[in-house]
Amino acid sequence: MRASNEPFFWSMFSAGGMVAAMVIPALIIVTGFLLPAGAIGFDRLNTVLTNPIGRFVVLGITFLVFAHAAHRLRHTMIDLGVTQFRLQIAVAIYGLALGGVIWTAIVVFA
Amino acid sequence: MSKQYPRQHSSTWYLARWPYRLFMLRELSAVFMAVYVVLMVIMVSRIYEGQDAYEDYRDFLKSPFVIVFHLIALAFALLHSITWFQAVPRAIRIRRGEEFVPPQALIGTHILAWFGISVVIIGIFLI
Amino acid sequence: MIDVARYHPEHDEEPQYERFEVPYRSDWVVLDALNHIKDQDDGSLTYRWSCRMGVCGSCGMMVNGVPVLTCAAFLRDYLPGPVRVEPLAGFPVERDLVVDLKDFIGKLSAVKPWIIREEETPLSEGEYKQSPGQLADFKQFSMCINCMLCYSACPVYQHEEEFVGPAALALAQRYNADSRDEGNAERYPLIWSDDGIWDCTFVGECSEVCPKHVDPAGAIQSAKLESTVGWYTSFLPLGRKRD
Repeated sequence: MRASNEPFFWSMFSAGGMVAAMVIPALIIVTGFLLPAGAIGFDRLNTVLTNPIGRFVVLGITFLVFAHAAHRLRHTMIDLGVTQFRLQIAVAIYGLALGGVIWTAIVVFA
Repeated sequence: MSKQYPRQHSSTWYLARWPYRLFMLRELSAVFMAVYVVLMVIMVSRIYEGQDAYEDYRDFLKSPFVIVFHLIALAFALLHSITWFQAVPRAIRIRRGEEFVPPQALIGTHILAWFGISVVIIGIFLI
Repeated sequence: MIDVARYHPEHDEEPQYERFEVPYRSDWVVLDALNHIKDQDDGSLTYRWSCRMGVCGSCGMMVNGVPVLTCAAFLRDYLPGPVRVEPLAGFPVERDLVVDLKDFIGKLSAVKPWIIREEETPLSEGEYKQSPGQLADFKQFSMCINCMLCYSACPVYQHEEEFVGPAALALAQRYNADSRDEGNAERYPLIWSDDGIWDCTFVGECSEVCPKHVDPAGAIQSAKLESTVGWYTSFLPLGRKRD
């Protein structure tokens, strides 16, 4: 029986799931509702997000949520009945997530 | 050996019953959260570009379509949070002596932490 | 009124539904109704049952699409009817409501559900001692009656026949968590494989339908955590070696 590589992906999925559960609702309230409502000024946003800690937090959240979503979507595809081309689908989905993380790193640090 | 009727499986099993429908919604929450994070990173990049770019993006955030997306994403995010915290004591069983730490205690701790973190996040931006 | 799935292996291509009228009594379960049909209407109706008290695990069937023990499914909960009774989902049908158990039995024995010792202690040195706490570690997982309701509730098993499945994985966890057992390393290759715990997407219905509250879904999540810790520590100098 071949040892599975799932522990690595599952640990990322779990870490991402926990962080997403803790921060995403509050972030949606901030950027989806408080921002358009005008409750937060540009200067405050700029201070928080140009801070080195802020940059790392943005990248960290992005990495973990993408890793979580990619893993979940990959397994959901199988549950939805797409049982063919598993390797190709896995490569495509994890690749997309990795691309998103690289894009975020460029945004945050360039 | 007589002829068996082979095992069947439905390709739409997740529509059959409410527990399965909720499961599928829970799984889809990840997609909505990922799309939300993409919007968030775009916002961050606009802020780095300066106030004008940010104001343009804020107009985009004000459009009804985007507000509705954020409402749906919030509903999915809450579904994720609640189901996630409920799952924690299933994977982590902590035994003290002869008794297990009650699942409610573990779930409650996570929900308290969740509220605390949420207040901090909203506070950081509002102050 | 009861709609029963009928399948005769010699002259049916697929199951048909047959409708029977049974008297309603508030203390009757679905199994009582089936027994009534077999006594009064059609003696050829084929199904498994034995204890009538939720212990033997042989009368599991789909009632209105949900896997239940028919000896514990009261007709009063399905009013006004009709009640649809089908064989357990996910298994080949032998006849009427009887399914083939071969796949399940094979998986049960594949996880080595017995106490494995590196060296047996001679009988003269007494029994293997266990504290109440050590017993609590696995007791819940030891309540399984092999009724297979969890397999029928599991959508992953429906599309992945190779999936070891809820009851067998919970049983593996039961022995892995037993302080007297030393066989974890023999069980890990199968249960930590892609067809073991990693097929599970934590739908959770296995635990909902379990008549004995074994919580196979929880057992599998615990095993995932254990496997992940094992995977990371396998890179450490003193960690368990990977297979």
